[in-house]
Amino acid sequence: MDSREPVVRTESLTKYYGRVLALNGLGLEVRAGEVMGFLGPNGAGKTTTLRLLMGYLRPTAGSATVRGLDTWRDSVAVHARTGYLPGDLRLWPRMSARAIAGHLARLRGCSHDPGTADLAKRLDVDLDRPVGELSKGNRQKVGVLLALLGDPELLLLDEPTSGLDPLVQQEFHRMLRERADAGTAILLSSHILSEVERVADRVAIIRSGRLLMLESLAGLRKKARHTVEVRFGSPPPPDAFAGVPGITDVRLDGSVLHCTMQGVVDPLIKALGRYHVLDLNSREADLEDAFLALYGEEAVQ
Amino acid sequence: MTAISAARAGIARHGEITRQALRAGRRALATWAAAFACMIAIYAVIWPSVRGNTSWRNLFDTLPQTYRALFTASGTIDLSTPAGYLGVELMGFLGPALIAVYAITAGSAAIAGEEDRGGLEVTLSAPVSRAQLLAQRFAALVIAVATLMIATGAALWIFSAMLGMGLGIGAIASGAAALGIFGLFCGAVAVAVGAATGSPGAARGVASLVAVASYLINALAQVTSALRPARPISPYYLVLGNEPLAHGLRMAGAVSVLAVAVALVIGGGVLFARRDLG
Repeated sequence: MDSREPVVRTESLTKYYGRVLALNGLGLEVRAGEVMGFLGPNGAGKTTTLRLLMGYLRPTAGSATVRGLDTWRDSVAVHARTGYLPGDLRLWPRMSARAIAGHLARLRGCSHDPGTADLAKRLDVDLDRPVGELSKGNRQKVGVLLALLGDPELLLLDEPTSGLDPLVQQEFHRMLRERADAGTAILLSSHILSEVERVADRVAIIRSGRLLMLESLAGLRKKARHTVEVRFGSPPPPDAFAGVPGITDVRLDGSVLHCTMQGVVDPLIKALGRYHVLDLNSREADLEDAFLALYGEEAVQ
Repeated sequence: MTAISAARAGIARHGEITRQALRAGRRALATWAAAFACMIAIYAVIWPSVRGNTSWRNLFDTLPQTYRALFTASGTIDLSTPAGYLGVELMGFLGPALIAVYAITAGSAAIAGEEDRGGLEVTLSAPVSRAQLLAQRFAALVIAVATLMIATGAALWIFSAMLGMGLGIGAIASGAAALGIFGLFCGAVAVAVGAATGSPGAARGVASLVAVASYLINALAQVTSALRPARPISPYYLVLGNEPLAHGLRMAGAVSVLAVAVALVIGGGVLFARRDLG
């Protein structure tokens, strides 16, 4: 099959739970070799999308395919190509990670050990203790290991780093990058912008079941907003920052400037250079603010 | 993938879910097997004192028909023989009740219980169809119930020999098989309802209701003419109604109860494959 063909393709994918609309006409493509960040607040429809792709849920309308296979009708064939980490991971508490990995490997038809030891070493997973005795973070590592087992060509990861400590997160992100470079398609859901930023090539932002935007990471950075706070030695004139490109929501409180900055920082710096600056504070707006600001009207509708 | 490695993959997958289910449930199964053996031991140890005690036998004879119907499967009580004694004590109520409790617990856990706790997502992330999952989990239940009944039969055989009860191997096999088939039927209801609905509560509730109804229909049909036509649809009556320990297993009854059990599981599987996982 053409490697440029998307591995995952959803068309007008829609899911109602009873009369509640959980996913509204999602169209999404994930290509081989790319990490797609799937971003949105809790309850936006990320988990619903991943469970539709796993064939756990039947689409109310629209369709989803993996390598051309229908995710509902051909779910067994889809599973053979897919590694999945559920958002709410539940394992058999009395079994060790090694035993669970062996069980899943046998279900996948591998008679040999498909690299469990190697993965365990990189993720620092305790293979031999019953998973019920592990901390939440360590259990999550087991879940990550199980998803990566056997080099699937598609990874569906629902909030994979929740509970992981930063060092393991880094290693995990490196592993995802390696897999993607080797041609794996990865769809990774998160509600944290900074995580997606570190690892994703493209980002799909979803809210209330609708796709709000689909961007490359560079595009997202361009749109990302910062709230800026500047303290001056003496109050600048009231309209000093009125026409600066990329600057909005300007508010001057005596000698303190509050504003929102989008895109390139240079115009603001040049404008500030004319005054005596005591202190400058810039903070990236968190995701919620970012897409509420960008897509506020649409989100309300 | 070559044909040989594909075949090997098929063999590796074959029965893996059943083996896993049995591994996960082996402690509970061992405990239950020990409990059944203990129960048999207690009844057997009491037997010598019952055999000689005519006043207890007379007491049973004076009981109203309704009471006797509730205590026994067939309404007749013969405490003078080991088969009659165990028919009242073991086969009439406690044996079927215990095996039903075990099978309903295990059966409701097989799909619905695990789904309810979120555990199915991991198993089903492997290339396994829901029908496969259900079939293999049900197979595990069949093996577990059979194991329990083998333990029960073995205990019967050992204590019968030790205490001179003189139960034949055929009688023991018939009694254990009848109990097992009744339990399996109750478990199949739980598996089917659980698979169809995803609710372990519904699975346990409906299966318990079916078990109790099947017991009560048999008992009350003996004393209430209005219920008499319903007796042949009671699985309890069909496998236990003829006192299998004394008179052997009724094949027609056993086969029809098993057939209905399998049909229920297949029906549950059809609904399971069509619905959303919880």
